[in-house]
Amino acid sequence: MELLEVRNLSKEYKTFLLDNISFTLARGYIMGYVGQNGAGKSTTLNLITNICKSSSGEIYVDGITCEEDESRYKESIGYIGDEFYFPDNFRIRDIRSVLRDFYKTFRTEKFDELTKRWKLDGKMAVKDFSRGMKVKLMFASVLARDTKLLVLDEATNGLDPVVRVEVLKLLQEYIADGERSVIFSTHILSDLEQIADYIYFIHEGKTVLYDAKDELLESHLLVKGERRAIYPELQRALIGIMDNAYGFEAILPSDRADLLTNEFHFEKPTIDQIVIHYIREREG
Amino acid sequence: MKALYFAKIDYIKTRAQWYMMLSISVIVIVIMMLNSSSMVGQVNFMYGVFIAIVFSTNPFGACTRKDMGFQQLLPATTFQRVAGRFLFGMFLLLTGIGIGLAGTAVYCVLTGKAEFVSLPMCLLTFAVGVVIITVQYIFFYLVGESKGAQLLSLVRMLPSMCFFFVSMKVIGEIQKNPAEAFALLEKVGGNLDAIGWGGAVMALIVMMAGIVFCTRATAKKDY
Repeated sequence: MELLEVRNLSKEYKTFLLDNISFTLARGYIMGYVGQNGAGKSTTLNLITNICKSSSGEIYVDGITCEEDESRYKESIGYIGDEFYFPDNFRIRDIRSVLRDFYKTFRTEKFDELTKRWKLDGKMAVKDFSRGMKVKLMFASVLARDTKLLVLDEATNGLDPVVRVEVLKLLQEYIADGERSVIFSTHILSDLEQIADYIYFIHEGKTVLYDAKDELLESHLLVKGERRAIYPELQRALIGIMDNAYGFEAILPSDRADLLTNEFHFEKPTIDQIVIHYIREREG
Repeated sequence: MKALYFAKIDYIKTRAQWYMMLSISVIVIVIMMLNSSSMVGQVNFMYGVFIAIVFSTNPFGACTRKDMGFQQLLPATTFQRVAGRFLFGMFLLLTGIGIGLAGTAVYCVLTGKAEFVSLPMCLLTFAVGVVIITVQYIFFYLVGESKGAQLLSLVRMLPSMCFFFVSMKVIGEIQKNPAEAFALLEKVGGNLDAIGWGGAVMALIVMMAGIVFCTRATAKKDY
């Protein structure tokens, strides 16, 4: 049984449709969930955390749906978002008190240890914390209890490089026992290059790619050369051709590498480049 | 139990306004004492309920979309979340009543006068308070909890002002001719105590129905 199973998930808004998203995430892995602004990343994560209700489809976390056992479902998920979600006038002691009330597995001493380690001032109202302090407080609230799935929705946005490195390290420690997993949406694809095991790419509410990161990088080439050198068969195989000052750049599936002649230069792409070219391809 | 914890969250979010509520209550009670009108006990009780009705909508005013997301993440059902909000309103009402009664006690001690507080009148005032709070909460849940701040002024003031003016009118009429007023009530209702208790129980049933209704109204909503 996979830790996270999303089956035929759809959500309809007036001007947007999240269309039939399906994927699984095994225990002990990190999935990067990527796409442009408005692609449906936050919608998907909000559906997983039950902040939003789906139009159709099912989500299983550790074998149960939210409808089967709402409390157990939500106990097993830790969520950290781009927006700080604790009420503005709360202090750390209020957050500790509320989490202790609601979560059976919440450990006060672990929470206090983390807030002390990260120098989070108990006297300040949390609305006065910096962005980095707010993210650390959300992490402290999640890491101080037993969860199975960590859901991060652009949680590293706006963090300085030092804090971002700390967060990435926390995520790797989180999955180290092989029983827990992370789903992580971000625009900072270089973070995913470092820690993600799987990449799920969504565009305009639809799945574009879902594969192991290493497999994704191995199965694509970044091709550069002069525009006039592109012939029809190669044109059909290239993905997201973009012109630049030196000619063109595009992605090519590795298994079509035989189409390349000496006129072209190719190299291993980054996830950034794969995503950009696929978006370019879809937008024509 | 989780409903109590949600009521606790509402208390923490609005605790600054509790100090305001207490301050206003003290000022009102002092004014009453200086006024030295009759039925001080009844009027204090009514003021306590009035202030509680006004402040009971504070959790909606203090609610933002991200707060709702936070509460939605907590491992609890929608029913527990809604029941917690109603419990908060109930605690506020009981606090208002307590302040009113305490004010009357202080008045009696300081002035040496004995004040009569009619139990049926108190129960009926409590019942009206519960029903008004229930109606307000249903309105806010239907509109959308985090949109409460925009409508707060209107929904907060209208029912509570109506309650205030009607109560003052009723008390005024009773003050003019108390014997006739109580005789009329007994003639109409028979047993005043039964009317009072019946009213309070009916109000609590209305509140329970309100919780169920609001749960259904919000269960499918997104945050």
